[in-house]
Amino acid sequence: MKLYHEVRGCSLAVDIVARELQLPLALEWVDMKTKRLADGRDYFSVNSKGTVPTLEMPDGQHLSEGCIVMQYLADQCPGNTLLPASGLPRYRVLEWMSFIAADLHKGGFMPLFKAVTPPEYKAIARGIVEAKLQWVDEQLAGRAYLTGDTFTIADAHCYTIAMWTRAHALDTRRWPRLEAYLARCGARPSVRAAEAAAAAQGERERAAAAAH
Amino acid sequence: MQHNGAPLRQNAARAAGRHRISARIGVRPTPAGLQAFPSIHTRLPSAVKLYLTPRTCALAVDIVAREIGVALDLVWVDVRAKKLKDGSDLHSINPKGQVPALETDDGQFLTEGGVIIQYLCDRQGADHLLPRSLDMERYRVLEWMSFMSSELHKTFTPLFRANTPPAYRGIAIENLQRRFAWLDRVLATRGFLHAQRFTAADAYCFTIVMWAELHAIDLAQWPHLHAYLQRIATRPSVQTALAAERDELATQAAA
Repeated sequence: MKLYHEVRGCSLAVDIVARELQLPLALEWVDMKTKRLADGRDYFSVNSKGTVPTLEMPDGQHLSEGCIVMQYLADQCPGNTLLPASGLPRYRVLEWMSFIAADLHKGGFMPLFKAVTPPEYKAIARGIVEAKLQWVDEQLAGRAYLTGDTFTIADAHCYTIAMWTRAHALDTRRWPRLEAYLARCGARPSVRAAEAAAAAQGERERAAAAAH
Repeated sequence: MQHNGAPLRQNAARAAGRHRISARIGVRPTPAGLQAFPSIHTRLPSAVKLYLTPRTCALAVDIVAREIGVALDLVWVDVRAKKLKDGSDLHSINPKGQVPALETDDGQFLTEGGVIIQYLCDRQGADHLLPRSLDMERYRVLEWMSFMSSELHKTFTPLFRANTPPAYRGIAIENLQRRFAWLDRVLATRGFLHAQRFTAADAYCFTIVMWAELHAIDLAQWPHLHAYLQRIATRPSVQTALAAERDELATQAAA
């Protein structure tokens, strides 16, 4: 299967999940400014919304929306520990996924990334991010991961989004449980490998930009 | 969703002929209409509590519950004041202080509208609204639900906040219009979002897109989307769920 991916995008969470599941994905990097693929093709031909990630499945169909791609991948691996197959524990993981995607990513960080966002709204969005991260920090009391002792797809997702604090000079040291959690997630081999792949692509993109 | 629509970045053609859908959904359902609900074995207890507020995404949960024959005990809360009617703190139900929240039969609370919908459909075996089997049919419905939650709902959120500066309101409205135009192109070739039948994704889409009318966005400029919303508005589940909201709003106004 192939993952349409972006350096520093939320698609990193999908790559982490795939590595945790030992499902090899071919990474295809998307230039989200031009919506072009490396071979010049228009990314809108893959995903008409123009969003990453998109998963290309073995039959050539495309699945979009990171939260759903992560569910799909975990469900392909019966007995996995990343997403319980049924029962309330499954919905607890999905509840976190929904919060991270909607409140933290779209409601919180998204306006910070947009050049058109007026400064006065950026200040409001920073406040939203801080309140959400404060709440996550409280929830982590007595737990190694969001739903307990086990790393799930929600942790891959939360780690990916919460690390955007680094890009926006939001100091997470004021939330010690969150800070320890990010370090715990960041030490996982899956996370290190996914971040290394993204960093290597970032280097290639910088080198290509410098050559122009 | 199939990615055969034109790109999200393009503008949609405008169409003439406009009237508000909300005018059409003010009709109370007939008892005969109520009997049109699918008759299925109920696996949930008779009174499951849903904590909700009018004009929020909790409406989608109520619509889905009515579609699948789950009798919800609707507990109206003031999500802005974070209070229940007895004065207790909403945070004791949902530590995030949001609606909807569902009280499960073992006394736990489940939050996040899209997740409550999955829980209810899976418990009831409501495959017509959300296929249970872990095949692509399920993920296609969920893919739409994720889009509604992340791309539409959260784009509306700043418009509901008093402290959002006017400059950002304009940006949010433009972002919504681009997504409505994309949805309109998708709906040009299909009756519903997925598989030519009503699913949980349509309940969610209807709930969120109808907020456009609260923010003076004229939906008639997207004729396929507009016709789709009108079609969904005639469903007994939607009409009864909206009637319950109106009753609550009238109760609040009288108090």
